[in-house]
Amino acid sequence: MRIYRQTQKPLGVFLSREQRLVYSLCREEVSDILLAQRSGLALDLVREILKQLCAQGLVELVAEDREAGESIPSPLEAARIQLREALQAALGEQAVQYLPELETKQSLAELEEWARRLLIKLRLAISQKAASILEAELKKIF
Amino acid sequence: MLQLILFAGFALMLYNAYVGFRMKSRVPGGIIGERLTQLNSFIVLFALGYLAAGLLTWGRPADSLLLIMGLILLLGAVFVWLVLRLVEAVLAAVEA
Repeated sequence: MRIYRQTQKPLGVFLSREQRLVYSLCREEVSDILLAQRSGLALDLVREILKQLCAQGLVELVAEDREAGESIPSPLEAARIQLREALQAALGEQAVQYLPELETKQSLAELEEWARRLLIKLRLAISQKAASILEAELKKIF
Repeated sequence: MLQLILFAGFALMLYNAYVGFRMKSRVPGGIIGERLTQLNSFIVLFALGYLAAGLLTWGRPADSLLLIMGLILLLGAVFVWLVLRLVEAVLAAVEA
């Protein structure tokens, strides 16, 4: 989402009907999504018009939010990131050997099963302390 | 006969010690790693005990009591071997 507003530049060029509509709606700070709703135009078209108006210096970009899809990772990706950090906290440099396998997991259930198996392996054969740290983190993640 | 049984027990305990230390090198810590350290110490101690028993009974007539003791020692070595096999199987399952 991007927020635009008119600049002080006088309107000295000919604008199409849609461009004029969008330009006039930008008298106050307004987002591209709201502009699309108010003008009844498609969001893509509004964004294209805003781009043109910006290029002409008639409106300016005030603020910009990253797209929701970019800023919020999927649950699998979020769990993967948390698990990666948990492994590094529990095992330190030794965590590197488990990271490639972690990246191959395609679903949350698969990731959880793998993490639980790793926990048993740590508890039995590697380090009980590391297993306790990882177990506490797994309770938070899954 | 008694010396033969004691020698078999001693040989099996030496083999157990080899298996135990080899397994310990694969398992740095955790429950199994810690227990293997203790288990290996006892295996070495018992192996020396078998050797001592063999030396102390050397040349003595094998009465039934000594034969029973020898058999118990041999079966003890078999028991340790089975425990090590079990631990090895658990490790293989965990690492799979």
